[in-house]
Amino acid sequence: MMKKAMVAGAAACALAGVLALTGCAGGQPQGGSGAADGQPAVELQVFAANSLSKALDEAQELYTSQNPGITFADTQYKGSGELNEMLAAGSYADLLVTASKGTMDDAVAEGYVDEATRADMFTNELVFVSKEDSTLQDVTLDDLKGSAYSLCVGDDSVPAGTYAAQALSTVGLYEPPAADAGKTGAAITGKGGTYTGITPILQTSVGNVCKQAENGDVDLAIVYSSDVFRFGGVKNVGIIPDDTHKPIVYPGAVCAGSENAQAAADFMEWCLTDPDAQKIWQKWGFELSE
Amino acid sequence: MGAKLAQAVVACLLAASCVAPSLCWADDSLGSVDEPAVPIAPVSASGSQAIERTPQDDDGVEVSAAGDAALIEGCRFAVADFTRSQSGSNRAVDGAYQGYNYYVGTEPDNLAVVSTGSMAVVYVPAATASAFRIDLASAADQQLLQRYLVALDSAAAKGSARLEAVADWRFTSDQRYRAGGVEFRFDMALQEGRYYTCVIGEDGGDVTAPSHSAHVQLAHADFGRIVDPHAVAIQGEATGLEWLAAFLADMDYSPLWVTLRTTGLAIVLIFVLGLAAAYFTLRLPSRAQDAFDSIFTIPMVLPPTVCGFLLLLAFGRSTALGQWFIDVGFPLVFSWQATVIAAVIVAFPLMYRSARGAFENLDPNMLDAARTLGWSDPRIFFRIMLPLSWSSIAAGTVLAFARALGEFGATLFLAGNYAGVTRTIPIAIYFEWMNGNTDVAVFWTIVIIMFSFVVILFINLWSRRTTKYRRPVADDGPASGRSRRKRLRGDAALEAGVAAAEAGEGGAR
Repeated sequence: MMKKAMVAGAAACALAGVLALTGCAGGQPQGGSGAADGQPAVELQVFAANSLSKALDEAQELYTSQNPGITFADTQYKGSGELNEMLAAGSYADLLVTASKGTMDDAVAEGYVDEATRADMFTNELVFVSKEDSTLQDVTLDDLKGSAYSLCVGDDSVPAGTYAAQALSTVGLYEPPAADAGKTGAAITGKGGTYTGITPILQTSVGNVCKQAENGDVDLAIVYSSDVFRFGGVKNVGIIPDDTHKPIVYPGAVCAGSENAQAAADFMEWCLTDPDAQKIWQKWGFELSE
Repeated sequence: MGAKLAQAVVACLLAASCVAPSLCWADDSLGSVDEPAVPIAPVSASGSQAIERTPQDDDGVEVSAAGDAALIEGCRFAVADFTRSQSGSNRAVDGAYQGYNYYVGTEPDNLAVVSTGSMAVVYVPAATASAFRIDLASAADQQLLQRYLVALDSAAAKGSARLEAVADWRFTSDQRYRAGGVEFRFDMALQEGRYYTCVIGEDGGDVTAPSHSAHVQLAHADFGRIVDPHAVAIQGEATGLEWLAAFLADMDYSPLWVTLRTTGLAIVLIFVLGLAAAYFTLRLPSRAQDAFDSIFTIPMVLPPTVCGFLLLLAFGRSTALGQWFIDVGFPLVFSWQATVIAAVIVAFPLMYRSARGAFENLDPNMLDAARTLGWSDPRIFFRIMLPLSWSSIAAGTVLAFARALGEFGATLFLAGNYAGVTRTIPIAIYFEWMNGNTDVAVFWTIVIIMFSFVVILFINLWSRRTTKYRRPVADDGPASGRSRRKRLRGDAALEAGVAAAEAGEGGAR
């Protein structure tokens, strides 16, 4: 009697488990286009550079309020290299926005995105930040030479890190790999080299880099000027000149496997041309690309 | 009944977890600033004199909690609809280059400030200036505007460049203001009903380009409207319970549901699979037993990231297996199932090892005795093996539960971080913190501590109840006496064997 109950209980649990697993197959983050009659409900999945997190959330909210048929699945804000890895591993996205030309070139080469839809969306600026109550100011690249400042930058998968490496190479603190030996600044990729004379802490997204400075774990971190505003808690203590690194451009493109390619392209176009969208970008410190 | 109980438990948890943060944060909240205005030092008409102020000096300006309005007590005008623009756009508007432009809004007559870091150009529309009797040449009025703008700008700056640091202030009512080869254009209707502020070279060139002769590095811009002071109601920042209520109302609770779903389902699967694996390895020849034992245990030894990475490699799009799962519409990576798979694989060894250890400690003679009495294997399993090893199994379940609840590395690898789908509480804690929402991270930390505590306490109490028969009969109440009698109605001989084994186990302790 009791045995039967236990067997039945165990079987029921196992069955419930299996059912829940299979039953939830529809709950995955894929934007399936909904009912065709009347309003087509579209859910867009956006993969975007980590630095865009708050600004793009606000833009998506506004876009949904203007276009009720279009909603957004939880946008993935990661380091641009990591976004490409996720696409490689088979995750679904409609729109990809990365923080460097190089990462978008990789996505194009791998066939993750439709190259015809590619457009430069935003530009940004590289700055030194420090803990909010820091007394540092007007820090320059030269100040880092032979100094005792601890520094945090992004790793090779983080565009902000590669821009930082390019900038540091102009003052001899970063040695590019052998293929680029002797070159500095915008002429190198900022990947695969070594830091010399300074040992920065490497992080996997620009958000993490900024956090290190906010917590006071490091004296200085190299992030985008938009991050200063995004996080608060850090202070902009110096601007890194534009000519020491490649132009910071955020290219966007519709993903090759997108089931809502038109809706994704429309959203991208809106981001670039709508004044209300511009208001959001300027609030968060992203300059629209020319 | 079960659902109600679950709801009650969750409600208690949330209620309890609410109290703690309110205690911690009650002191942090800023009340509305309500100090008398400090006397104003006269500045020269050019306004190029910097005012000395300490960072704490709020200058008698009350700023609303949202940072969009400010009021100086007794002043004949106030500022509302304040926004700060960190950057503008150098893009052509409708095909024509208009300079570096900031979009202001759909209404004309905006108060505007453009800062270059060293110079700030303040534009007060002529109509507004006359309506509020603002004399832009008067030092007192300049001072008022400056106080408003500095207070609002500082509240919105968040570590970026501030107007506070600007030494050279210019005030104008002209829509076009020229300084050093640069033309500042205000209230420009560049599109139908769309007003912009632009910065352009006197020659129409791009002054933000370093090559331009009048090159200027623009820092930021602020916009707002000068309004009647009665139109501005300054809402102080919410404190204590109000703040907490707003905080809880805005909270996205999906990580809780995802965690409950994942852990709940995972623990059921782990329980069943762990017992089954332990039971079957026990009956294998010893060589095979060792091999299977290693395979079942290895996820515990490996770092979770390795498990996640291997699973991702196995089930990703690049493998035939992963592609097949995607083709049949059941993708295993970055989906809800992935959180369960990751939790099961990482936590399974804990259950398996506990169960196996317990089964190995059973007296084989007793199991043989049961067989000689004609008991079937399932009956032996459920009536002898499970009850006798129950405390070890319960301990294994608790450990596996804890491990599944806290699973982070493999889950992040395999399932990613999709809010409402794969974002479990541990992942939410990390990403909320990383995105600057420390409050939310603290909230989830408290929730998970309380949740773990309650669940483990519950399992301990329950396991004590289910092993009550082990204690001497004299300690038991009438209820368990009854159950014991009921039990005795079963196979008396075997029951005696069980008791003997119990005694032996007790003696060993």
